[in-house]
Amino acid sequence: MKALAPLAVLCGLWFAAPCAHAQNDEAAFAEAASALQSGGFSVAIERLEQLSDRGLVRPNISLNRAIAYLQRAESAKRKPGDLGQAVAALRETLLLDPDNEAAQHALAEVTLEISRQRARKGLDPVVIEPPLSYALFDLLPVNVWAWTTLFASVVCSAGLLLARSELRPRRLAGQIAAVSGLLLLLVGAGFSWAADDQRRTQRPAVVVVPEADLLDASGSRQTAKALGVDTTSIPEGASVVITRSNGRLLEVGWGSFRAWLQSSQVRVLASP
Amino acid sequence: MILLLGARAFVRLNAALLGVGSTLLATAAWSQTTVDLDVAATTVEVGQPFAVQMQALTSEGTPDSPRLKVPTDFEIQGPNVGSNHQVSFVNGRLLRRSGINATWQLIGKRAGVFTLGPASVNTEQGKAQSRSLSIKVVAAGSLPRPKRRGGFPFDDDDLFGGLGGFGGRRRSLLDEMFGRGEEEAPPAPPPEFSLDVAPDPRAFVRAVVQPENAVVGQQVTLDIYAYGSQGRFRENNPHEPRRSDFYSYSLIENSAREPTYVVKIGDTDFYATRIRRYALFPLKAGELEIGPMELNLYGSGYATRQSPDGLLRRTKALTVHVTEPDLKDRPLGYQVGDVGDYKLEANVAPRTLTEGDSLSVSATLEGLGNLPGQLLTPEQKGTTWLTPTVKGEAKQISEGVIGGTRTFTYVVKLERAGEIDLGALLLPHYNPKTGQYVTARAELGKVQVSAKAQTSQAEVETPRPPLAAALIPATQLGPPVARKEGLPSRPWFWWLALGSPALVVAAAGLQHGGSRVLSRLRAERASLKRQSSEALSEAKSLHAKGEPKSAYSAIERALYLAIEAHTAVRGRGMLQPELAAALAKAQVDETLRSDIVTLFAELDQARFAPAAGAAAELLQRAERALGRLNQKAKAKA
Repeated sequence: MKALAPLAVLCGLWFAAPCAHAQNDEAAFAEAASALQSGGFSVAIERLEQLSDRGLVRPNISLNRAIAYLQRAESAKRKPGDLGQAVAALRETLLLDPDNEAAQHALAEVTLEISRQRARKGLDPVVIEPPLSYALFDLLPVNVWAWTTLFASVVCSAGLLLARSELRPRRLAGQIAAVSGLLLLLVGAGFSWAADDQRRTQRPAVVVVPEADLLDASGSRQTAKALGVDTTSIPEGASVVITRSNGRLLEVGWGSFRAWLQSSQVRVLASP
Repeated sequence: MILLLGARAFVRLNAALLGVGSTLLATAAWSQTTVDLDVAATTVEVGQPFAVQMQALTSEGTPDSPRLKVPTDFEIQGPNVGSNHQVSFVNGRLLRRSGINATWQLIGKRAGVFTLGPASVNTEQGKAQSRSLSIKVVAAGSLPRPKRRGGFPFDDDDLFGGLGGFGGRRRSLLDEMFGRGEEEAPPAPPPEFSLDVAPDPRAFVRAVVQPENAVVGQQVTLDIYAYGSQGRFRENNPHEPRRSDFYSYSLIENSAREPTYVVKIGDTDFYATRIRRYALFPLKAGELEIGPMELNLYGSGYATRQSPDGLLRRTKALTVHVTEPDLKDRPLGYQVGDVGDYKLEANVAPRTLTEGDSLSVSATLEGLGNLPGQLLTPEQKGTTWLTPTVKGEAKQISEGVIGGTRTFTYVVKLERAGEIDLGALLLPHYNPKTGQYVTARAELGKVQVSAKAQTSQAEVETPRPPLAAALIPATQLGPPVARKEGLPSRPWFWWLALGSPALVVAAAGLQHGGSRVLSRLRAERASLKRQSSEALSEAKSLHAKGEPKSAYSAIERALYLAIEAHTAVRGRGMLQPELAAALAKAQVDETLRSDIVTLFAELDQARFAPAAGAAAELLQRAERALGRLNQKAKAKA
């Protein structure tokens, strides 16, 4: 029995540790929420970032973080990039809770405010959206593409069977169904694979500095001429897609081209 | 007589005149400007610096503009000019004279005998000059080294260094009267100057940093010492140490006013002085490097022909291991770099005001360390803290310690009425002595804010609603969001999506292929029947023609073809028992099988020994057998 005691203690610790951790998380969140209520955004930001650093992904954490950054952005303690952080937090909220209308509305307001502030400085207010391919594959949920593929497969199979009929009308119908189904199958399968691959390998992110300079793979700044565009930086709040990482540099897709950024200048959106 | 008397009188007169004259001359001499020129040694080496001193005294005014005539074969620096006063009793009278001492540093560039001077000054009476001097310059290294003696506290004007023989600064009568200018023994060296071994017997410099392990923002002190065994020296051509990873305060900028000590290292006495002291505050974590300091040690014992600027010496680069303070127990709002020991006090005025007005908060931060530049202000709805005015700099407040006082003046706007507790100003910081975090705190107390009088609609400016107005903070952490795997991530998806049509195509292909094979088989079988029938017709024809042997062959051929067509047995070449077995296997009944085998046997026999009328019988029997085979095949189909 005595020999079992240490083992029992170890087992207890093993099971108690996650419970203690969870209680700490709850306490930290509660402290942040309470601070937010009274306008203590600094405390809220610190606690919520600690929770994010621990890998905790909850839509409520992202939502409260967005509120905290927005409060700071509108205070005398504002720091460059606060609005970008708020955009990142709101986008994260919508990734985890797509039906949150308040977050959608706030995101639109914040994006507009960024554009307004940039316009006041004489900078381009337009915020370019994610790459075309990303937007295309993200047009519908990946399962919609998957079900389309399965449906096309059934239609194609049925068409092929029907095409062997001896009756001409049935044979004709079968041929049409087979061809249509095959085309739809190719498109659906392609989109399904691309959307799934995109989900697995590419991570959405948001620029959280006023201007993120566009770099090449070695970290040197690129000229607009080399990029073939009118700008040499990505503005705050812009959505990008991370395709590769190389030490402290990240390759991102923005609009129709790709470039490298400092990893400290973007915030990767958390996903479950 | 008169002549004699005249002569004696002349002599007496002359003596008297001489006496008066000499008195007058002596007095006059004291009244005039005197310029003396002297040199420490009359023989020097090429490249060896030596000093030439001029003393100019006058009773009226003060001489100025000292000049020295020097051949082009010498490099000249200076003069360093000092004042001089003399009081003398001449012929019962107290005479005061004032003047200047001017010292030049010369270096001979080639060997030879040269004339230096005269030196001259300007006075109220006009220009006065000294005599000239002769000096011999010999080849470098040809003179024996003079003994160095200890001596005076370091003096920038003392360019004689340890040269023997010159005797140091010329002492005036007042110096002799009051005992000034005598040689003073150097003070005992502090312990930090001590060394067990000298890295260089002539001269070296040493850099020391303390502590070697620090946290970001903690003061580390860099001291640089110079040691020379060839007499006194001064620094020349200094290159400061690189310290870009630190915020630095220069506590000793140059060694001119620093004391020189005599430090015994082994058997050698070294003159030593602290030439630099910096208070450094690391700006980041890591292994931070302090670059070497480089300078020339300059003096008569250090400058040579090869290095006229003196001996070049360099310290080693140093590394300070810097970390961030421990994360454990780190208070909220702590800024990395806020290290020290601080106190915070604050005053608030006024404490009664109207909604929308502002008040002033003046905070005083005092303590040791590189004073932080910002404080944590309270955050609450309805109060806006504007950027403060900051005054006061950190400085050296005691030996090698940086600290001081800094004031922060805030304007705080209050936008809600009622009794408002302003909270507290905070400065979380790390105390390296205790190794703990401390939060300096200044309570601000409460203020009374009266409501603003209602204004007209026109005066009210509706501000833009806050960006977060539509968002309500969540109060619960909430459950985790399950990760949704897409269908394409499931392996069965691709098998199903692409496999179904492929399966249909494959099945159709198999079916088509099978049909073709069957058709081909059928066609082949139909062909054998036809051939069998033809062979039988041929046998009849041959029989009719009276060719029984050919007829037997034809019958045999017809039988074989029919057997193959109906049973797929290729009987040609088989022995009769084998044929019987094959037919049995093909489910041909025993009677038919026996008839067929017997027919083949009789056909063989008949071919070699044909009997009369046998052909017709055999033909009939073959026809019957063929018919039964055909019937059997139809029944089977």
